[in-house]
Amino acid sequence: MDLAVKEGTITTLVGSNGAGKSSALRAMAGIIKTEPGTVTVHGEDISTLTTRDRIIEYGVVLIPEGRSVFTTMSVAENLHLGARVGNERSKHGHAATFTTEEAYDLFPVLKERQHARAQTLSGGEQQMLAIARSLLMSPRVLLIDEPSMGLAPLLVRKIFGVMKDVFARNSVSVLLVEQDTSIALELASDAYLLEHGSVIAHAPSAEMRNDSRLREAYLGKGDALGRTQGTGNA
Amino acid sequence: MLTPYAADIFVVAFTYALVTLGLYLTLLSGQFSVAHASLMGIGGYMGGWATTQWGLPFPVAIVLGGFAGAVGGLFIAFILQRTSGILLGTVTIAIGQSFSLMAQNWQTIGGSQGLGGIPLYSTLPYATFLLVLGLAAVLYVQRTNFGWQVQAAGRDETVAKSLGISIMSVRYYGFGFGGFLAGLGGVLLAHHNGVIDPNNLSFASEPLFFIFLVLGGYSSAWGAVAGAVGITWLMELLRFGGGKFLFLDQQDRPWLLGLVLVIVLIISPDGAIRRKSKKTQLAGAEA
Amino acid sequence: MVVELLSYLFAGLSLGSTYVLVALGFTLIFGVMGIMNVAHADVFMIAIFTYLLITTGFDLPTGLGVVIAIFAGALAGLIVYWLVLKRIDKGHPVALFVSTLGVSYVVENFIAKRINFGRPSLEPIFGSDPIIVGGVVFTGPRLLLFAVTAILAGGLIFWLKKSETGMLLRAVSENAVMARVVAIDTNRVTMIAIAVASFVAACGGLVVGNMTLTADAFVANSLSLKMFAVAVVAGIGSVGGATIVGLTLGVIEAFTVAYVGSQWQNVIGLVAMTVVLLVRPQGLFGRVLRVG
Repeated sequence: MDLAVKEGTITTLVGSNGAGKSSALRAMAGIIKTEPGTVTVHGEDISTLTTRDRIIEYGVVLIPEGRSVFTTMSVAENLHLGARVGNERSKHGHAATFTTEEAYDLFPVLKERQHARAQTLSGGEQQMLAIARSLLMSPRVLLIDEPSMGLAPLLVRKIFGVMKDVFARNSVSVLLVEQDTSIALELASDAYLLEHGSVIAHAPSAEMRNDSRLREAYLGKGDALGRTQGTGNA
Repeated sequence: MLTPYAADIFVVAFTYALVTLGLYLTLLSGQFSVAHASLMGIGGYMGGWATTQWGLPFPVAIVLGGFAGAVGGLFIAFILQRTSGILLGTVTIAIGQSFSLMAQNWQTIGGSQGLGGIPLYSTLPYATFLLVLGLAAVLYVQRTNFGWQVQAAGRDETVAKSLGISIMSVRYYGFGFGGFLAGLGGVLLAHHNGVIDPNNLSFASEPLFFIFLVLGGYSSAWGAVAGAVGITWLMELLRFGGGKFLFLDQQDRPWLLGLVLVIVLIISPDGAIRRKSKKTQLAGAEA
Repeated sequence: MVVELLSYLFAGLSLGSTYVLVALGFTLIFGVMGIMNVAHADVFMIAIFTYLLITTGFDLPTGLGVVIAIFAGALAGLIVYWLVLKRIDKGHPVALFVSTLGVSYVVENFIAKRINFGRPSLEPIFGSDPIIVGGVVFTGPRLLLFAVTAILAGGLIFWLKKSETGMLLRAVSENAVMARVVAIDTNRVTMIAIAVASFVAACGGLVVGNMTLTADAFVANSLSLKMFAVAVVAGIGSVGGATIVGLTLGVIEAFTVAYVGSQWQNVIGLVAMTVVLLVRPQGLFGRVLRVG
């Protein structure tokens, strides 16, 4: 699998279940080991580094799929975990790009509920929390795994709309894994289609939308956007 | 033929082998139990009681002891029906210890002195017969359909469940049969030593069975037996002729053995006990 | 009558304090590492033996003995981690668990065989005349036990809630993988947890040994039963819960011995554990068992 993310852009990985999208992200973050293969950031090979080093020195930050907040801890504590990393990164010479205040401005509901346990937040709020925390870590490369899972598409679009500015302002490069192809192709400028662990297509989103291989990959009865009857997801 | 001394060692070795087989079986079925020493003790108490208090013939006592062990095992399985994994193991330790402490305080069965005056019925023929029977039973069942189910459940409960295998019945089997074997061993032990006391129930000797199993190669029933017999003999030979070897003497054997166990586990931790590794789990749960 | 009840109550609290002191560390380690460290109870014993070795064997002053013993206990926990636990990959939980059994076996038998210090002169600290309040006897060692338990339990709970490191520990406890995702050095956090847990157990060992004036290399075997029971009933990882449950268990046991019979004392813990496992496996105060 050969992927490249252009700096400051959002790239997406699409493909049906089992195509290996999540694994790719986790391998990049260092959570699982890659067999032959390397991960490089700005040309530097980080394959042998631990997850922690990848975060601190290269700003490679993962937002895992599903429940990605610490439910037994408060909103403020969760954010603090992110801010700690941002602080540590700035001590290593990577200036903090995002502050807790900005996080609260971006997602006001987090400020309201700051002392509440993350468990009491709704799915969408938890996702906002995860994203805010990740932004506090001063990421250079943000790996987002299935943000739409369990959330209404409208909410996902809204959250991302808000975030796109932040990404642009702080030159964060984003690699997005998404099951819902229509959202993915809307948000990203560039797309890779995965199947069975390999890249079978690479194109700008607009072109990918019409690529027949996309439809085939999903084995669905839907159109190229992967939509099957009635549902918004592939 | 064998000297009485050698025969005696073999009796002890076969006794341990039975208990180790019980451990092997229970582990094979995926249940991590560390209470076999106690189930052995329960069998021993039952068997000893049968011969001393009820005057029953040895064979009957043997069967009773085995069943006592089985009942103990089933009881544990019942209690732990909503638990699994390491938590289960820890709780079995606690249960085992409880049995031991209860025995210590229960005056009717001898309290901390234990049950004494047990006739020395455990001869080599009995021990050999029981071991062969036990081994044959385990090997046979492993090949049957149910045996296959048990092993499948042992490797991965989730997968087994999806194949329609009843986890509870596998558990009852593993604990029950495993307990039975341990109980048999207990009866033999009681009638070899002439006495059985709460120490025999205690957790302190449990690691010994693990040592047998791990060092004997825990992927097969033969391994369990070989380990028990082999190491019992090794311990015997390591009496250092009653003297010393460097600064070590025969009372150092327990901790030396334990050390070997730990080292072996560090060097090669996997085996038939549980093959599930985190990596396969992560890979398996992938999108 | 009231005096009698109070006596049993405080006897129970003494007993319970012992359980708390050993269960705190155990549940902490399980929370952070996800493993049941059977050998933890042995730290308790190691502290007592070290103290006796230093004071009786080497004839050094009490204060020094206490300090060295606590240090030795904490160090013992860390050494076990470095030499054994860390080297067995987490993908083999059974091997990890059996290794703790092995370590416990080795330590107990080694000490039983090899540590001799002549005739121990077991003089308790603060062992002078007991204070009698309302008919209930309070000896110095017992008061010390209460004080130490309160300080350690309270301190631990406070530290976990309020300090930065405590927060990191809670994060790793909840989800070790996600902790790595937020750049937490799980290895360092684990070592801190083990050091703290062993420190608490070592203090516990000293303060209890001071009261019972016995040194038994195999004490962990009976103590660990209570350790598991308390941790399981409270819910693995719940430090506050372990405190409450531990004390309660002690009190219940004391009353049982007094009014029902001593042979039932050790059954209670087991029964409580059984009931909890059947009805609410995550424990009274526990959340769902940790993920990752």
